[in-house]
Amino acid sequence: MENPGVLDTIRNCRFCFMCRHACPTFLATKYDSHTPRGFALLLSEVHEGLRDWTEDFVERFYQCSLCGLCREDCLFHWPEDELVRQARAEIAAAGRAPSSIKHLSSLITQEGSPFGRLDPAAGVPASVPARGEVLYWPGCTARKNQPEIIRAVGHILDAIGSPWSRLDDEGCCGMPFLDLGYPELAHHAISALADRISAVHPQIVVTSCPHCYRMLTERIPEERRGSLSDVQVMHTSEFLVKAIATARLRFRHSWAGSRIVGYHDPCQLGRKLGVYEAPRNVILAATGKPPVELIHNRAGAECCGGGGAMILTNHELVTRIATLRLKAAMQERVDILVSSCPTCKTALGMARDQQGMNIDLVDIVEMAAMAL
Amino acid sequence: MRDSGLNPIQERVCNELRTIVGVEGVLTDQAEVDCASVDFWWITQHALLQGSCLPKPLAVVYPTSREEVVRIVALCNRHRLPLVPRGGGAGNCGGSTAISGAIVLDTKRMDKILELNEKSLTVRVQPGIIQKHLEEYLNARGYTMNHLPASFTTSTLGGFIGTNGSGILSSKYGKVSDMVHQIEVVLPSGKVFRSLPVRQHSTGPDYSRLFIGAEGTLGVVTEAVCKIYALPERRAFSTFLMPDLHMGIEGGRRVMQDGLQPCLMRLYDEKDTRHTLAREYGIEQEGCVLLLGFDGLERIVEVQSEIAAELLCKGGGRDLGEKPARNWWENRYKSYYPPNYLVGEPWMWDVMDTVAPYEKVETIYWGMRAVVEEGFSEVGAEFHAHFSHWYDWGTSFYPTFIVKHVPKDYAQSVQLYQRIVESCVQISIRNGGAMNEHHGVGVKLGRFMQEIYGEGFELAEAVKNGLDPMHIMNPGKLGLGEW
Repeated sequence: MENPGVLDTIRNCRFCFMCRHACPTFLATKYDSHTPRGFALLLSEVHEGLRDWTEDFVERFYQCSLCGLCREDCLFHWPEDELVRQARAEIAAAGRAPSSIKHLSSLITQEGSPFGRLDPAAGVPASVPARGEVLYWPGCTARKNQPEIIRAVGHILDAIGSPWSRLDDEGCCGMPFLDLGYPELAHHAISALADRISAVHPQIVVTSCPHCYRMLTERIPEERRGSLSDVQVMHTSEFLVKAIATARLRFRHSWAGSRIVGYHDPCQLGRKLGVYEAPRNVILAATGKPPVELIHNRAGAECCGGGGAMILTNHELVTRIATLRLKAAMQERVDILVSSCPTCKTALGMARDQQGMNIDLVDIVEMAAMAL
Repeated sequence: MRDSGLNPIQERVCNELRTIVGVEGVLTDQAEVDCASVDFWWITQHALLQGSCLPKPLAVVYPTSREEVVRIVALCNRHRLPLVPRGGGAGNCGGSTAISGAIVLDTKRMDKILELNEKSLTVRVQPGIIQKHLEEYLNARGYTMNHLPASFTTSTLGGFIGTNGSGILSSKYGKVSDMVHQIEVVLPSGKVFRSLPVRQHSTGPDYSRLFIGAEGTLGVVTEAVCKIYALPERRAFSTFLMPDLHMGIEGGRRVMQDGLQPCLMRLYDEKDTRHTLAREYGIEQEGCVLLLGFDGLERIVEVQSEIAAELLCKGGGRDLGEKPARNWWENRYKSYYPPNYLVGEPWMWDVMDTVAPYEKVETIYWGMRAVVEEGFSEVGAEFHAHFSHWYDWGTSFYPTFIVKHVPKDYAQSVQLYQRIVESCVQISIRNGGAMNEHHGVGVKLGRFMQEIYGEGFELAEAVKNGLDPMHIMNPGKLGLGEW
C-alpha cells in the first residue's frame, strides 16, 4: 500500500460506525461488510496480513457504488470512496480481480467501451466536426442504453440553431478503468480522450454524462496540463441554463401539467462536481415550479446504485439500491422523476421495471426537449 | 455468499436457515463473519489488530419478521446452537460480539415502522431500525422520540432496548425503559411474549422490564411501541462556569430537585473542561463548565431557564451565556468522529459510566480517579469525566480512562486493561454505585455480576434457566453462562 491518504482513512474508519446510516449499499443489503466501516476493516485486515484477497473479500469491494455519501456524511470527510477504489486497484494489481472485471477491462481496451463496440449512429448519426462548434459528448451509457437522450440533445441544439457535431468513435473517458481498478489504463484513456477532443478544436464540449464530465474537467487538467485549456466543458443541464438565460431556449411552462416532478441528484454531478442548481433551474423553467425534493437531496442524496461500475457488474444490487431511491421519490408522491445522468436513468429504470412502479423517468434534456 | 469450510452438520444447519430467511439472508463467509466479530469494545478491536483469533460464528442471519425469528430460535434450540442477537453492533461491552459456532441474528432487516399513533403519541416499530431513520420519519411529521445517544446514526432501537440506553436528553425524557410502552419478545422456547398495551398498570409485575437491559440473553425483541413527543416549540441553552466539581454537582442536584426539567445538563470535570471542551467545541475555561438546555413550550422554557440561572448563580456559578452550550448542541456528535483524541488505537481506553445517589457519587468519582491515575501511574493512565444523565435522586458520570503506552505483549496489554476495569468496578461496588449506567454489561462487566448482586443473583440465574434451559440465548453475556 503506497497511498498514505488511504492508510489514514483505514485507521480512522475501520472501527467507526457513524456514517453507516447513509451508505446506499448497506441500506439495500443491511450487511455490516457493506458499510464504509466494513470496507475499511476488511482492507485493514488484508494490509495487516490477517486475511488475503479471497473471493469473498474481493467481491465486497466491487459492491460499492463509490457514491461518496459516506465521505459527505462524515464530519471529517474521510474519503472512503477512494479507499474502495484503491482496494480495487490493489486487487487488480495482485491479479485477483474477478474474471468478469478483467473481461470488462479487456472489452474497453479492445472495443472502446465497457458495452463493447457501440453503434456510431445511436440516437442521431455522428457528423463531421467543424472547428469552433459545440461538440456533444453523450458518453457510452447514453449511446448504449439511452439513445433518446442523444436525440433530445440533437433536437434542442437544432432548435437553438447552434452548430454542433459528435464523434462516431468517442472511445472511453477512463472512468470505467478507474472504477474497475486499473488506474494505469485509465491514464492512457484520459490521454487519448484529450487527443481526440483537441483534434476537433471545439469551442464547447457539452456532455450528458457526469462521469465523462469529471474526467474532462478534473482528470485531463490534472494529467494533461494545458490540454483543452481553451475549451469550455459543460454538462447538458448547465448548457440548458445558459441557453435559457440568454433567451435562446424558451419553454411552454405546461410540460408536466398537474403531475408532480421530482429531481434525483446524480452523485457524480452533485456531490463530486457541485452541480445542484442548474438542473433544478431547468425544471423550474420547464414546469413553472421547482422540483419536489426527496427527503435526502443535493449533497445528502443517496445514489441510484449504478456508479462505481456497478451498472456493469451487479445488476441485482443496483436494482435493490435504485428501488430504495424510487421509494423515496414515491413517498413524496412524485409522478415524474428527472435526473441528469444516463447511468441514473438506466439504474432507476431497471428498478422501476422490476418492481412495476408507476413513475416516469426522464433525463433533464428529454424533459427540456418535450417542453419546447 | 459461499460457505467457508463448513462440516456437513453445519452445512445442514445453514441450509435450514436458508429455508427460513432465503439464500441471501444467510452469510457464512469470512468477510461478513469478521465484521460481526468486532464491535466498539477496545478488547475486540485490540484483539483484531494484534492478530488474535476472534470467535468465529457459524453464520450471520438476517430475518425480516417475527415469524422468521421464531423459526430461527426453534432451530437453535433443536441444534443447541448459541444465538447472538445483534443490532448496530456498536456497543462497547462485548454484548453483541460473536460466539464461536453461534448464529448471529442480525435484526437490521427488521426495520419497518408499523404504526404512528398521533392520538396517544406512540410509534410501533421493528427493532432493527437505525435510530436516525426513525427520528427522520418522526421529524418529518412533527414528532421526535427524544432519544439522541452518541450512536444515534448507527445503532438500532433493539440495541438500545437490549442495553437500556440513555440519550443526551435523558434528564428529561428518561432512559429507554421509560420510552418503551409495549414490547414483543420471541422467548427462547419460540413462544411470543407481548407486554400489556399500556405503560402503567397493576396487572402483576411489569414483565417487560425483564427484557429491557437483558442484552438478548432472555429472548429476541421483535417489536416495540415507543413514546413520542411533538417537536419542541423552543429549545434554549445556557452555560455556567462552576468553581469546582462539588459545586457543579450541587448545582445540578438543586436544578433536578427543585422540580425543573432540563432536557440537557452536562457537567464537565476540570480536565474535560480544560481539554475536551476547548478542543472539540471551542469552550476555553478553568473550572467546571455546566451546559444546560430546556425545551418545550416557549413560556415554560423561559421560566425554567430563568429559575435555573438563579439557582446556579447562587450556587457559585457564573453565567457564560447561550453560545457555548448551543455550540455544543449543534456539534454534539463531533467528538465521536475520527480522529478521536480520546479513544481509539493505538491507545488503550474505555468508558466506565457509573450511576449513584447524590450522597455517594462524589466519593465514587474521586475514588475511581485516584485508582486510575495513582494506581496505574506507571503506565501514565489518565482519567477524565463528565456528568450527563441526571435524576432527582442522583446522577451518572461518564469516566474515560486512557493508557497511551500500551504493553506490546498482547497478553500483558489485556491483563492491564482488565486490572484497570476491575479497579474501577470495585470502587463503584464498595461505595454504593452501579456500573453500568447505559452501555450495558456484555462480557466486559459480566464477570462482576455475581459479586454485584451477591446471593440475589440467584434470581437472574433462575430466570435464565427457566426461560432458556438450553442456554442458547447470547450465552456468556451478563454473567449468565459460559462464553
